[in-house]
Amino acid sequence: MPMVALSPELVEQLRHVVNDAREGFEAGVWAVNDALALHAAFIDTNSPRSALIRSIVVSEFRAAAERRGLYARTGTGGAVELYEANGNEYAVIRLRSAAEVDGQIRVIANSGSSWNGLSDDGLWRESRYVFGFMVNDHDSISFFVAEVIGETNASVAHLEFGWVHRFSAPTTGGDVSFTPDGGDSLDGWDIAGEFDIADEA
Amino acid sequence: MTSRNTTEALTSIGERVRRLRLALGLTQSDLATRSQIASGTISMIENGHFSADAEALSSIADVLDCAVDYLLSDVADPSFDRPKLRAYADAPQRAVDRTVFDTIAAVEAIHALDLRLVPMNLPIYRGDLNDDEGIDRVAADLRESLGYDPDEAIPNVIRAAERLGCVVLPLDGELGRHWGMSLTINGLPVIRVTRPSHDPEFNIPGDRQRFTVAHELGHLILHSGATTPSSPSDASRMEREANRFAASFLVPGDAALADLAANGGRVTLSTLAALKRKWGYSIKAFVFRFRDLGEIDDGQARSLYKQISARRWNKDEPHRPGTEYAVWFGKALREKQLNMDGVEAASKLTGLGEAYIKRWSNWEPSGSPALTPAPVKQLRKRESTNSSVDLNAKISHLPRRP
Repeated sequence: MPMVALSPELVEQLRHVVNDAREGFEAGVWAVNDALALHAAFIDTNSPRSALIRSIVVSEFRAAAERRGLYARTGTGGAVELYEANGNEYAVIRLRSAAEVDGQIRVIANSGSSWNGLSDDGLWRESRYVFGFMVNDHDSISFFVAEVIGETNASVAHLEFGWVHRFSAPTTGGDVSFTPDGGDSLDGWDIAGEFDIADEA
Repeated sequence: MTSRNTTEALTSIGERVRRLRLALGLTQSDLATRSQIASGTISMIENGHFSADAEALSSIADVLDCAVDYLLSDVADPSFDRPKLRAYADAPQRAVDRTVFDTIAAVEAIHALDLRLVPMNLPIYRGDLNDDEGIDRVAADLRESLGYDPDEAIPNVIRAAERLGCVVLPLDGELGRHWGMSLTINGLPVIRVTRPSHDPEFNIPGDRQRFTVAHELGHLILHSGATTPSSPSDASRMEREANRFAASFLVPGDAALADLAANGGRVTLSTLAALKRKWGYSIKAFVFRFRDLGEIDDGQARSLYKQISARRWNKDEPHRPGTEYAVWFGKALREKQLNMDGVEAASKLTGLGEAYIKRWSNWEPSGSPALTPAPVKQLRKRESTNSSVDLNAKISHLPRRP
């Protein structure tokens, strides 16, 4: 089966969404630990942490998409997804949490599989993509977008991907740095025109 | 010579030997070995209990890189404060002594050469040190007296300290966790700050150097005449106060908050990186600053520190500013010696080796530049005189098994 990449224009738009959402997430993720500290039961399992993290990601993702003129809709089963034209077809790009296992991106396939109802009637085709996020223990988040081509038949099924694009961490403003003033004048000490090291150089 | 005079002379010689030995980071045993004098004798000389002959003094002077006359000259007890030294508990005592006594030798040389000092404009804070706003105010007043707008980054912090009358001298390496030290010797405020290094492990980032100088300025202004802290908690309180001063001096609170708002208002690493590019103030220090200013709480500060760690910025932050260097000492030497070579003339006049003078004026990166890898010589291709020669070893097949 040939891999279908998202168009470069759409990837570029998503890159902006990623940078914006990452910024928002990293500004707000501190609240997760504060919330978990409110009751000992909140750390009995990882579920509260995952839910809190997902809440922040969803909120930032929606806001970032809106700022970029993309519509983040609520899909079947409460999924958050973008619905965008990608060449001659539509891409349904669903926000999902992911994990990296032995260098492989892993997204668990939901039993709901609401994607199964996608249109493929010849008039237009809808393709499935995942907009994945992975949060590490250092409160940092990374994103990728991947084409979904199937599911594994393991007991805990996960999605199989075709085309995958990982978004790199944004740069922080290029190589521009503060440069101290290299002048050697000493107000109140210098005698005008004399002993100026710069003059002698 | 009366016996009292003799005793004073011996004490003076001993004190000179001890100070230069410590300034060079040598133990009595090191000095004894190098000068080929018994260790016990060195100890007695330093304590003023033994009159060394000319030969012994010459050997000692050679090791200490000074003239014999320097050892024989009267030594005055320097009046210097050591209130902050408890903070250097994590540094080897020998390294601390080396810096202290090297600085004392430098100040003595400055006076001996009668170098023209920058008029003293360093204020002394008499307010309540528990009042953070009082510390902020003295920092703001100092910026104003130096002619900096509140929303302007200080173009060169070392130059600012020099303009206030501080002598700023380079320091090789670190003192424990510290990149600098300040002392007031005979009323002259001196700041030692690490110069850059070719060794990445010891190469001070420009933002750290700026903060260190501002921190030491804070000590000189806030803790002038203070007694030695009686406990580690007292010492850390003084460190905190100097940090507060440094932060307010380098990045006034109102300007920091206004810049944050102009950059979107969210305290994130990319916002802080943008602020760093303007202020020459580290991202990590900005996290601390915004927590101090009440813009973020401890939880958010912790989260940002974790993110900094995840990006491996603990050791190497992006947007590293260039380092600064002091100019007064070099200029004052030139002024004094006019057309003579400053270092050589200063060395002769003070009786100290040229290495001392160079050490106090050299801001070039320490250590050796990284060696470029040795070129790998390509082996010449083996020339085959006869291309038809079969170079493969012959294989003899074993007989087949029946």
